Amino acid sequence: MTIGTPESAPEPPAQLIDIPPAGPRRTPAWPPWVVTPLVVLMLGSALDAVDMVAPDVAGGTAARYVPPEGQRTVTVDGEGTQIVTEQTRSIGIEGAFAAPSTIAATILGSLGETELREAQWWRASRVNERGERGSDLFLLSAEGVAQVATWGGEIGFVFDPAIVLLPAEVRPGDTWSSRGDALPGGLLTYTADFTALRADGPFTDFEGREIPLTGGCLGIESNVIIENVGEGISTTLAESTVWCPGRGSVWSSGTVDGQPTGSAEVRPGALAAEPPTAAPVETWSEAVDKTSALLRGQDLALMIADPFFGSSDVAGQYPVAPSATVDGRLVTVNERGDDIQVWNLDTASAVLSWFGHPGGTVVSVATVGDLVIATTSRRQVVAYDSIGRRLWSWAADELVISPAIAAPSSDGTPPDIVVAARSGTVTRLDAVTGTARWSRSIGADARATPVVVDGLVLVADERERLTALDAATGAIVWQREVGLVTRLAADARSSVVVTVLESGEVIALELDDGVGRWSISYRGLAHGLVVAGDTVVIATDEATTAVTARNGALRWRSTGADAIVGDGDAAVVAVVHPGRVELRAVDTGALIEDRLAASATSASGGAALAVGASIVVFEAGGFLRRWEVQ
Amino acid sequence: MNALGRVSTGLVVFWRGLITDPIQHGRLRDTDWPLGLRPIAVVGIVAFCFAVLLILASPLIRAASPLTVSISAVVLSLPRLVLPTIFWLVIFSLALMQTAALHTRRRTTVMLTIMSSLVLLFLGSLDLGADGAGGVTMTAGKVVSVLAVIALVLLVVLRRQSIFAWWEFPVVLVIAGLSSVVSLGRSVAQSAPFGIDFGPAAASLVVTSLGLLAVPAALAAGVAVAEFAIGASTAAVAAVHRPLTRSRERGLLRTVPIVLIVAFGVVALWRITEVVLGLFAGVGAVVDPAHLPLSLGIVAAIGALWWGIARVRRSATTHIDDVMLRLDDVGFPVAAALSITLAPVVILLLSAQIMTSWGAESAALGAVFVIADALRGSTALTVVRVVVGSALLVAAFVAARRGSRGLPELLAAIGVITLLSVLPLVVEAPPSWSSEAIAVVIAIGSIALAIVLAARRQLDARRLALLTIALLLSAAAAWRDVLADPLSVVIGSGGIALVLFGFVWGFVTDADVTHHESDRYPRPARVMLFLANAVFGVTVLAFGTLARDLNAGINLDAFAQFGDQVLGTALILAAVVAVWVAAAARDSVDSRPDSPNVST
Repeated sequence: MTIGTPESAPEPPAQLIDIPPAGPRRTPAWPPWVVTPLVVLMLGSALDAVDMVAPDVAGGTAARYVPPEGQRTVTVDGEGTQIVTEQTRSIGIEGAFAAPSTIAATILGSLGETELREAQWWRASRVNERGERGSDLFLLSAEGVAQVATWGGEIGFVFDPAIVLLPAEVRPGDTWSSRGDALPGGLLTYTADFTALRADGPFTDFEGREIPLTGGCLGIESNVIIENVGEGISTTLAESTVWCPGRGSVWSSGTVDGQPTGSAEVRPGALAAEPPTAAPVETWSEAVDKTSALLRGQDLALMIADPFFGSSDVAGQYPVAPSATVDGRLVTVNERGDDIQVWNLDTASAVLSWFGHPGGTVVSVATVGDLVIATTSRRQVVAYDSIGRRLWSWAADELVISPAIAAPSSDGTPPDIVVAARSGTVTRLDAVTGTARWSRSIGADARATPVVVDGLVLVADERERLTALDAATGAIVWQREVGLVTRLAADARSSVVVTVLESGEVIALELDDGVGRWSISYRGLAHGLVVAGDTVVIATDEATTAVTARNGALRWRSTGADAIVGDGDAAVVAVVHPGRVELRAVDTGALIEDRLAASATSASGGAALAVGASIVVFEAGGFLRRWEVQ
Repeated sequence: MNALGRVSTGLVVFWRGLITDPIQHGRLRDTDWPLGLRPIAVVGIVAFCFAVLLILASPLIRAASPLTVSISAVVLSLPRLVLPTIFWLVIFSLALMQTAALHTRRRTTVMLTIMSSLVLLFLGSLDLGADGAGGVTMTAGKVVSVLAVIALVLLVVLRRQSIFAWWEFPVVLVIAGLSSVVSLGRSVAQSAPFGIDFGPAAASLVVTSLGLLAVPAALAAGVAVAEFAIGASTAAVAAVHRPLTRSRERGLLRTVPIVLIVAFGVVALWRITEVVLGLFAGVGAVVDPAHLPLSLGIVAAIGALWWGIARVRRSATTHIDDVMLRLDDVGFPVAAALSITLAPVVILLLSAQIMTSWGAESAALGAVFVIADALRGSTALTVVRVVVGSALLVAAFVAARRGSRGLPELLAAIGVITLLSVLPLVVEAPPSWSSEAIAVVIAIGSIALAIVLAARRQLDARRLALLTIALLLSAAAAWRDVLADPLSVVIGSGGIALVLFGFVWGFVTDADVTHHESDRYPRPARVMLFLANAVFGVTVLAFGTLARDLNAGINLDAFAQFGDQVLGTALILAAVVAVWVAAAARDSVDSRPDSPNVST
């Protein structure tokens, strides 16, 4: 303030000079609105970018001639024999180890472990109407498509180096050749010469029908000589083959040592099942009564027997609940989850009878009549006959997690198949054609394994309801709210439906109308439910309890179990413990037999099922055990 | 006012009471937010809505995309294309939580930072190296995760004493995101050439390991149907009562609007019919007579506690609104207390997996799993429930001594039900109760009270309205799950619908906590924790829904059912007793919920 200026005098007007603002500078509002969403979006994009699902397909342009994973191809040879081939595409060690151990070892030695881990494979598995089987293994690599091995027949080969069938950038006019061993140690050698041609056609099958050529098919002329010069053995295969994109070899014609050979693709739709070669074995209730004796449990070694390469031991893991065929064979899914395996059982081993590759991951297996039914991650229901020929497949609207079940027919024909998709769509399929007879939505996600009894299909759902459908028409007969069902069983003679609920209750309902009959509580984790006549047996990890189907009154109680095995007509149930099986009378609970496994190793938590007059237990550690009943 | 006007007014009152008011009161809203918080909230809300959309559209998404299936104890089937989205939502929630942790009280900061660090190290441990053998192999994923943890800790040290800055969230997201992208990218890239798709397994591992952190939210979500049902009951009565003023002037029901008499009569007839059918014919809300004694005992116990609380407080007056308003204060803390052992379980499980990937001895890991199993076991569960139940009863009386209304009654009711939930764990064949049996007790009690009041010529409009609410609450006790039914039709699962309903209702009505602030929990931290909790919970649910199996991750339905059973039943009982006490009181003030002003 200037001296002499009155205090009340107005301040002089502000001069127009740059004055730095007082206090901290205010942040503009836009950077947070730009940066925050941008960073969030960038994170999403980055996560999406690094999420690689599958590597690029090896084999160059030749790979496009290779059939896709899971495809079924049907061909007919010169003798009119129908051959069903299933195509498998895989990456890594498992692809080679699907072959007999001799072949796998040769491939491992040839490629080395590192290359083997990243190798891309194509396996074609054939079976004809007589049940004769064979497989070819091909490698997709930078060189193209090459055949590595063939097995399953009277003679097999392991080609080292692999025979290049289609070079990576194959074009009409190309020629190429391969030479090497056809068996380990040079027991046999091969010489192969090839020429690629334009496949103009027409090409016909042996009945004169023209094979449709799609998308740029390619002709290959080949001459392969396999010989052992020292011993004077020599075989010559001269062949013309037509390859079409996505279909593999669709037509071939040639000679083997002067004898004509060849095949042509056909597209028959559903195949007719071959009649079973073995008679049905006794069911559990037919084979076991209160006087039965139980032998000690025997470990079963898993083996794959090859007519040429001999037997190979294999390890087992059983992620999918197994099943059994009517002729006493065991149905499992391999460790990788993509093959169905059917095993012949004897006292000390399980020998692979056949395998099937329905495509994708196998979610469930079951047997219906003489058929083996698989459901897959591709939402397919796939049927095989007793010799392992894929007959048909049917597309569901969702994953079918629970195993298919049989719907008996009234006219003596083979039973139909009932499947409940996770979406809640229940479908009855014609077992012969694989077409839907009816399909019905229950309005909620299906859960637990459905049951067919007395003309009703019983299905539980995630809205805590139990629905009874007419097995003939699919019409809803009754629907009741019961709770979240984990296990379901029913018996026509007792006219009862029994449900084990997640809430710790067992509720019985009238079969006719779903009205509640009785309920009891259980403790622990439910491991099994059997309704045998007028007795209901519930196994948990804490107790095995039997009650009457009529009113839920306690019949008997024993210790907890891993599983129970029995059926609707059984007088005896098998109670499965880790490394031990008991036979108990259904009505009184009296202990008939109690047998340990022969070996000491045991693990809890496995599945069990009756295969004829025996109990097969799949323990968590991968042990497969069989207790025979006499 | 003509009849049409009354009806429309009633509908408006009902809609406001049920939907508009709770949302206006409890939604997330900008209450003087600092710069940069709003974009975070917007992105959080979008993420929440996106996850809800994933759930609702899950059947379509599964139908339209290839499924990847792996089979172990459960069949895990996932639409492969949405897996990066699940990871994105998880990492986004993590970043929200860690950014909030920069400004919370010290022990919360430490706990949350430990959790974030473990998650990043866990994701880093998924990078097992080129040979796939894992062990002590040093991989890029592990290294980057360690660097990310160091960066997060440095950020905490540097920013803890500062106020919220808008750039903190992007920085935390970049740190967490970069580490996660490297770890997940490398693990997927290294397994893909071997024909192994690591994505689904990694997603399952992440959701299973972290999903337990969503349990408190699921427990709290379970109460939403009860809360909504009570809101519907009070709003319905308010809608009938408020706009209709013409009253009877003589007889037992003096000064009572005719429509209210009709409404009470209809509701009473409905409840009586249902009770008879449920008890004797096994139709509708089926009641097991064996459940009635304990159910009656529960109501009596809560009534007795109510009386004791009133004596301690020297006042019995507690409105139903008092109870409802205190639910937000009680619901989530009680849910967190009931699941107190799960956070250590998550820490132990993550630590074990990290230690495995860094080559720790299997013996040490065995001990970790033993402890984790013990913390999840029935003994720990029993102890926690007994302690929490007892503590709630004590807290109820402490709150009553301080003169609080609503809170003590609610705490006492929850305490009783919590203690009862222990019975099946400790008794071989415990006496049982059920919501249906409790509904019978409430219905009979309400009608009996109406008869007594009518006989004493005390049944005025206020009391009749209250008893109508009580009768509707008895229906709510038996049928509240039905509220989630429309959703379950869309999704195909009642369990998922119940949890989703709770999450969404909680998201739009339970953000009251973000409307206040304190030194220990400033507003930005509250908003981000609220969002992190909501987005993570709905993400875990989305994973289960996309897998079409809640057991694929954490079965939140089971926890929501328990939350509904404990918190929901307690809330309904507290509300019923509040209504009964108000109706029975001689000269009490109207304890009806206030109805919004409606101009006609």
